[in-house]
Amino acid sequence: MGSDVITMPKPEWIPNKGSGARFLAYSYALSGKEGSALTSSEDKVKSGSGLTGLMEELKKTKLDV
Amino acid sequence: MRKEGKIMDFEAFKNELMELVTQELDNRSIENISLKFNTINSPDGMTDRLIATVGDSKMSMAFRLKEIFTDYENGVDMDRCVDRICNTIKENISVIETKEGDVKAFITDYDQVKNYTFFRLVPGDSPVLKEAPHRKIQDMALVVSVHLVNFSDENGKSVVVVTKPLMEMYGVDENQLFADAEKNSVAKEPIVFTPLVDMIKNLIENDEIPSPEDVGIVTYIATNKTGFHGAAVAAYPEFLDQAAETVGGSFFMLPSSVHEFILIKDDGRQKAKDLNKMIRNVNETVLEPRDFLSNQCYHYDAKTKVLETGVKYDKDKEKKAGAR
Repeated sequence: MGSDVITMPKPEWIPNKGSGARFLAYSYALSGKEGSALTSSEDKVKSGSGLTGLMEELKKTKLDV
Repeated sequence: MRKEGKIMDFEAFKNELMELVTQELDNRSIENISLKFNTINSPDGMTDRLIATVGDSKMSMAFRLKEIFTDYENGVDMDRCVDRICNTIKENISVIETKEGDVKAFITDYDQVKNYTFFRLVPGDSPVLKEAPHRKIQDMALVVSVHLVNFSDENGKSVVVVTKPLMEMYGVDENQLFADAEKNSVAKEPIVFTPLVDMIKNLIENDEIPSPEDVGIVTYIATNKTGFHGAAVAAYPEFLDQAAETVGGSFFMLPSSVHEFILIKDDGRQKAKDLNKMIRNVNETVLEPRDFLSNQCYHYDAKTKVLETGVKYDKDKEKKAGAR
């Protein structure tokens, strides 16, 4: 009985999400422009590098345990 | 009752979400779905989920409530949250009904699985480590995960972390499990080094974005071929030497996410405590919680071939300087 639970682990769904926000944040911070990094990265990355909002996220969220 | 016009707290939000999803499933005549809340051991920590189960299937859809709530706080309409959850449930009912058997047959058969096991680096305090065979690397841990090709597409991948019971069922020991995963990882997901400045240019068409190169700091992104769980390249046998060769000497490793490290050439200007502050700041403000790896940098000395935390490296360096 118990083995069925053990042998059937539930898959974890990992969506492809943009990495742009963190790269941009590090780029700003390392170049000494940290003060403007976050506000700037929010705007630019969301529109320009594939970071997705909730709608896309929900669409992709399946079998995620 | 809907709570129009004001932002709910998390508890109120999840209860209302469950209620509205239940209503909407009923409106759409989608039957045989049971909903419940659960807290799950995920590699990135304990996560609150809304679980949607189809009939008596052992597979289910598990929506990350905190991520949905964050987007709700950022202005996404509640009705759209509900709509998309219901759409996802509808789309995946048949997937679960038809593929559950396939997944079970695959995941329990090591002859099939052994070509799809890969290294994965997780935080050293990840709840999955209670059950998963692992190897510690500084304050992180290396586990083996199985990639479910039939459940993966361009939007993402389905993976399963190998647990001790699963490994025992496979009939392999830990050494064999990690050896097979290393072989697959090195062959199918080789190390890729990319200058940070090049990556930024690829992502954003804006010449005004500042780059560390502008102030003479050499930075590379180290990941794997697909960029998926690419921080695991740090566990590849040749990684540290290849990285030192690429960067041009000793370097700091910043755990920017589970998908990659950022390498910074140690030119004597960087202090670990400053780098750690920066890492923590980015982790807390930009990083998706599920992508978190660590809050501290590491240092690799290309001459002594020692990998250690940046803080330890700095302390030893100060001691040596003080002794002179």
